[in-house]
Amino acid sequence: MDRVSLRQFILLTFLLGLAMKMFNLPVLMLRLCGRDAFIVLIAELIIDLILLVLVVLVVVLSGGKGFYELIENALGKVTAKVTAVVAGAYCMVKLYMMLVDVRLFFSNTVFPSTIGALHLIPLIVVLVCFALKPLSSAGRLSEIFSLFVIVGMVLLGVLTFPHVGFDGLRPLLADGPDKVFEGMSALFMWFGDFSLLLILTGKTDGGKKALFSLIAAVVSFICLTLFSAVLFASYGDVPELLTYGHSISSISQYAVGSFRFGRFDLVIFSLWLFAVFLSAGMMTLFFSRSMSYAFGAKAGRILTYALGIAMFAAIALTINLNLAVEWGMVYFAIPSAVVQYGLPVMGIVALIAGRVRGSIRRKSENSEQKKQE
Amino acid sequence: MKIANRKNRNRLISAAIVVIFIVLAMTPLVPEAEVSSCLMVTALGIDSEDGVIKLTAETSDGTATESVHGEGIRVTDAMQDLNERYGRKIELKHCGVIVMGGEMSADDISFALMSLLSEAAINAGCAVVSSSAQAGEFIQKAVKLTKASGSGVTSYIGFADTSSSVFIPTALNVMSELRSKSAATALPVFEIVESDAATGSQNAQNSGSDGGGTSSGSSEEMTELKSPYRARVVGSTAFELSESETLGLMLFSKRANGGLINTEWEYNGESRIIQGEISSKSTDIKVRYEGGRVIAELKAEAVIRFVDRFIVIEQGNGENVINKLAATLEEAFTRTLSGYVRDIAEVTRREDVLGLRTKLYQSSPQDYKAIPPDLASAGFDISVSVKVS
Repeated sequence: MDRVSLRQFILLTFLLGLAMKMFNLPVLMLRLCGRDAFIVLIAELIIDLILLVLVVLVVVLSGGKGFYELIENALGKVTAKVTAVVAGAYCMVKLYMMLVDVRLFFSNTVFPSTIGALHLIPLIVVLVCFALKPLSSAGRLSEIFSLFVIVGMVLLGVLTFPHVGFDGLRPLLADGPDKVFEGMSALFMWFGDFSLLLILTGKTDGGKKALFSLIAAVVSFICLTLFSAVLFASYGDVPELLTYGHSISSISQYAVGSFRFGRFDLVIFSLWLFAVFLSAGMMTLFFSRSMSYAFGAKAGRILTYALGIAMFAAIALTINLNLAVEWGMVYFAIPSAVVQYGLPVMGIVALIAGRVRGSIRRKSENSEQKKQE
Repeated sequence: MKIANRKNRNRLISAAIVVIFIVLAMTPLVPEAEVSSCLMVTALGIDSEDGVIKLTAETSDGTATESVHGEGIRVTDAMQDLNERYGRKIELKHCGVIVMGGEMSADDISFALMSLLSEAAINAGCAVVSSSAQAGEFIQKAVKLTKASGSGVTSYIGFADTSSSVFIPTALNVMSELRSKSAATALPVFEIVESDAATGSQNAQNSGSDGGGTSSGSSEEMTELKSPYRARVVGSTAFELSESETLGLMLFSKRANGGLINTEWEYNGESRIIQGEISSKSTDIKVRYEGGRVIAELKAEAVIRFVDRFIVIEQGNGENVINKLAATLEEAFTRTLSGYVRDIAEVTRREDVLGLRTKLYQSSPQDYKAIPPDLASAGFDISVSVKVS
């Protein structure tokens, strides 16, 4: 069945709120903005919440139509197809950045002496399968995976919060607001994952109750903010120490001491990987559906396979992963902001245009009816 | 029929993916990643002598423990030297403790940890302690201890941390404190003592120890790890704290939750030494800049459970004087703890181990810019309150 239940929609929102931000983003933010990263994070998360409101409005008010169908009806077929191609390209680049992030993390933290890209083969195979399955598969996986992610977060919270002094977060804005603006403009790529939920437009049960997903997003953002605050407070004096391979899960080691618990961080990030998998799966799925809409079902399927192969090749051939991330931040920040925030805006415009067109049509029908009478 | 075929196909695909994943996860893909080709380090000693970094590591392959040695101009050179000498790649990810030699300055420690942490060679949660003499010697004795008792020095240090009487900083703690505005940190000083059981003579790696710890060994020779009640301050200068100063520091350390305190208690004209254990504590440091001086409010509240209960109860035998006894005990412990706090406050005038400058920077960056370069003129407002239970 190509639908998700209300609960599955809420859980997908929760996981998407965390996934891409929990690995290396806080590290990047601290390196880029120092302690002011905390302000940047809060500002970006507020923007993301506004994005989610728009996405949920599109999902709730779509009247059972799919996202591209909605655009097609309101703005024409060409606009819808161009949107699908642009959205697909956005998903492709974002998926690449995400897999680079994962590989970077693994190569630095777990398998420093191995060829990391080979470990991505099973992941990419599963992602392609995921994309070609009905939406109910994503929904069911969100129900199963959420449990693991929550356990991972509880473990990390218990291990870190009692041991970390949040005083290290201060002072904020000690050198003025410049770093905040710099961070805001460079980090869009890491946010805006909620736009992926647009693919569930017209395929989500529960009607207006989908607004409850806002609560899930707020919960995930609170968790993210707290864990990031731990990292900012702990590494605030030594941001130069951080390589991209450090993540929030490493903080558990710092906070309680690896001499007491051993490599407990490995267990914690294994649990988080479920969220990352689901997020990457949603990106692949969005790509696949967009391509299917733009070029037909068969071409969409072939392009999804091609995406898998291209992803593996691109990541295997990326020699300097850190450089790839930095380029992404420089060249992909603005395009990603335009697409991820533009898509729900386009959905809203399509909804409004559809309604206006509908009311004009109704009025003209009424006036014609009156003339006939 | 069609659905059954699809299910079978899905099962086959799932099984194939699982098999691929397991096979890939089991193989390191490159020979250098084989466990047998790594020197798995459990404890690392770092010494700096005449500009040369000397590494001594306790390694373990799961069955045998040995010590290995390497040296170079920098830590990375010394690690390379270790790789070449032993023909295996040094693996520090599971290293639980780094022992800094007693001669190491703040810069030496900072450079060494920076090298290890920035390349993510060690875990940020690795414990960092000091030996007052050579770290290499400490590690060699630690290997003997491990061989004899079966538990590594890391386990003992972990125990010291959980037993709450000692603060064990992590590598990131130390690095952060050295890079903070206070630019000073304190490392607990551990010592391993070798004694000849037959003659009773001791050969302490560090001198001036007091009780506790753990021991192992044959009847002829005994290797013993003593619990540290001393700490070494490293900042612009380096020096060892007295026991009283160390206890003052531990009182304000968030990692140390308890600890034993001895106090002199006078009752009915008689004086006795009473031992108490801090069962809970709360401390707070507030710093402000006032009249051209840094003023620090050091506040400590502790609940102390006195250990030699029978001595105290004996005094109140037959009398309803429990409240009076408790009040005199609280007074005695307050006096003792106040002394510790005063001592560590005096140390802070020389090296900012309580992090006053950092706290001022956090609360008021503008005031921080105005403060003098040292804390010699700092004023301390000390408030200690104790409840006995």
